[in-house]
Amino acid sequence: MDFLLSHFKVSIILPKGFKTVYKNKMKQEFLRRKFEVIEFFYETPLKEHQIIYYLKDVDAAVVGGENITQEVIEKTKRLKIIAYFGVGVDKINLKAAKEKSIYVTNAPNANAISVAEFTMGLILNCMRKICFSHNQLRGNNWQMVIGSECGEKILGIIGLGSIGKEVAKRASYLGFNIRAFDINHNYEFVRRYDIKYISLDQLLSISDIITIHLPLNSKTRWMINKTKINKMKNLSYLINTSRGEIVDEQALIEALELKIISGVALDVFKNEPPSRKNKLFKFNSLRSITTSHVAAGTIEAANRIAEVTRNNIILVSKEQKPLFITNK
Amino acid sequence: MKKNKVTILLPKVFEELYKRNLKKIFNDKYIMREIFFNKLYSKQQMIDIATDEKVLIITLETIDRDVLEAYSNLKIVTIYGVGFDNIDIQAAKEKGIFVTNASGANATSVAELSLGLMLSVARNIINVNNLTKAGKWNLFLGTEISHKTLGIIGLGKIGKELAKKITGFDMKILAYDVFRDEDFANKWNVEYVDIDRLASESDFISLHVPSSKENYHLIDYNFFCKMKKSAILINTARGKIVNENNLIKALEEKKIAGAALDVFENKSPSYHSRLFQLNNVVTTSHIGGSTLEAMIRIGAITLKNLEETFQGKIPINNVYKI
Repeated sequence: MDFLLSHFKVSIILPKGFKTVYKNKMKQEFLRRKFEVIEFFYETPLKEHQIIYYLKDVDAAVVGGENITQEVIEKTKRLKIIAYFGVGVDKINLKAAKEKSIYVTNAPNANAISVAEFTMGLILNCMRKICFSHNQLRGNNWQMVIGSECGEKILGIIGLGSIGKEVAKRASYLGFNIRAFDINHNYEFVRRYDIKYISLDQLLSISDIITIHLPLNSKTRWMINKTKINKMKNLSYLINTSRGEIVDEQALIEALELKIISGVALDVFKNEPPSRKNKLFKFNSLRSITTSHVAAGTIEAANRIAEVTRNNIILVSKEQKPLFITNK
Repeated sequence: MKKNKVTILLPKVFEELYKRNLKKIFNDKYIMREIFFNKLYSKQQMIDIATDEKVLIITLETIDRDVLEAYSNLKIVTIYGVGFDNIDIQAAKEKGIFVTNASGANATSVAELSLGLMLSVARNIINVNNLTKAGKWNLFLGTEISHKTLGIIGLGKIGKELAKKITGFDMKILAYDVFRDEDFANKWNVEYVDIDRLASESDFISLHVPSSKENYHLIDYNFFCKMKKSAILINTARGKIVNENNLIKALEEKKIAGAALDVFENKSPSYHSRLFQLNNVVTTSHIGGSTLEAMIRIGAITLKNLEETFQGKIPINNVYKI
C-alpha cells in the first residue's frame, strides 16, 4: 500500500459554477504532475459527513463556502493545506487547522474588482429601480419610475480595504460624496478621492447609500444591529456584499417593514442558502434586491483565484510553504 | 399683465414631483392646464384636447402637422426632455412655432442608467434577484467590465458624461461620432474610431445618438455580425436606431452575448416580442432621463424658454435654425 501514499491526493469541492474554470486553469496541471484528483462540483452545499469523506484521506483540499469545522479537521489523516477558493475564510476553523499544522490559504484581492463592480451595479439598481422596471415590463406593464442621480449623494463605505477602495474609486467619478469608516486609515488614498473618515454612527446617520466591505470576525459579527440600523436616514439604502452575519437580518426586516429605510440590496445572508421563509425575499424589487452570493462571481476573478490556488497546491506538493497563509 | 395659457402633459408618475417642486412656479406665471396621464396621448387625443393655449409642454406625444393645426394660438412646443423625433419640425417652422428641448439636462441621468444597465447585464443582477426570490440559490459567473473596451456611438452630451463617469472602471474607450471633440477625447482618454472598428473591438457598446433619418436602423444585422460574440449592446437613446428584429436574431444566433434596452422601436412595444422573453436582455420603460434631479433641471430650462418666447425673443433651446 506504500505506493498509494506516495501519491499526492487533492480533493476539489466547489460549486458547480466553477467547473469550467477549474478544468481550464487547474486540472491539466494537476494531472500533469500525477496528482490523484477527487472532484465534487455541487449544487447544494455538502453536509459535514460528506466533507469528512472528501477530506480525510487527501493531502490538499480546495474548498468553496463549506463549513470546515473542528470535527472535519480532526478527522483528516494527512491534510496539509485547505486552499479556500476566494477571500473570506470565516467558515474554516483556523485554530483547529493550525493545531494540526494545516495551512489555510486564500486568494486576497483576486475578487476585489468583481465585488466592487457588483456593488456599483446594486447601487445603481437601487437608485434607478432597474429590476423593478424590468419586472414590470415583463408583466406587460409599462410603468415609469423616478430615480435619482448619484451626484452629491453621500456614499458611506464601511470598511475601506481592498474592495472598499475599488468601490470608492469607481463611485468618485459618479460624483458621490464619499465617507468611510475603518479602523485603519490610509490618508494618501482618501486624499486622492476626496474621502473623509468619520465614525460609524456618523456614517450611518448621514449617508444616502451605505455599503459594507468588512471581513467577518468577532468584532464585526452583528456590527450593524438594530440600534445602528435605526440611525440610518429614511430614504437611504443599505448594500451588503461582504458577509451576512455582519448585519442583524431580523432588525433589517423590521426596518424595511416599518419603512425606517428605503431599501436594501443583499448578496449575502446569515444562512446560505437562506431559508425560503426568510422575509428578505418577500419584498418587491423596489425595496429589496437579493442575489445568491455572486458578487465575486466573474470569470476573471475565478481565473485569478484558480491560478493562486493551483500554485499553492503545487508548492505544498513540493513540501514548500504556500502563499497567503491565513492561519500563521 | 394677462397670463398666457399653458398645457402640460406628463406621465402620472411625475405628478407628485411636479406638485411638490414645480406647480407653484408655473402657476405664478401662467394659466396652467395640467394633465397627468397613465397612457401616452394619441395623435387624435392631442387634437381633441386642443384649445387656445399658447404653450404645449409634452414628452413623447406625436406632434405632426395635423396636431399643430388644431392649436391655432400655439407659440411654442416645449419637450420636457431632450429627443424631439416625435415632432414635425418642418411644419412647426413653417407655422412660426418654436420647438424647444432641454438639451443636456438629463445627460447625467441617462449616462448613469447606461452604466447601471451595463453592470446589470454583465452580472445578471436582475435574473439572479428574481431567482433568489423564487427560492433558487445558484452560483452564476458574469464578467468584469473593468479593463474591457467600451464603444460609445455618439459622443455628444450624454456620451461624454458616460465617458467621464466610467473613468473609475479603467476601461478603454472608443467613440464614433461624425463630429470630433479632440480636446475632450484627449482629456478623457477616448479614441475616435470608425464604426466598424468600434463594432469589432468593443466589449460593451452604448448608443447615444439622436433619432434621425441617417441613424434609422444604424445598428442592424450587419453591425451585430461585426460585434464580438461576448459583447453587450446598451440602448438608452432611441428605439429606431436599432433594428429590433435583427437584434432578436443576433441574440438567438448568439452573435452577441446580451443587450439592455430602455427604448423600443414602437413606443408601445408588443410584449409578445422575444425581447421580453430572452434571459440575456434587460428592458426598462424609458427611464433614462427619469430622475428627480433631471426633472427639476428641465423645469427650470422650460420656464426660461417660455419667458424668452413671451419677451419676443427666440428661445435659447429652439431646436431649428431661424
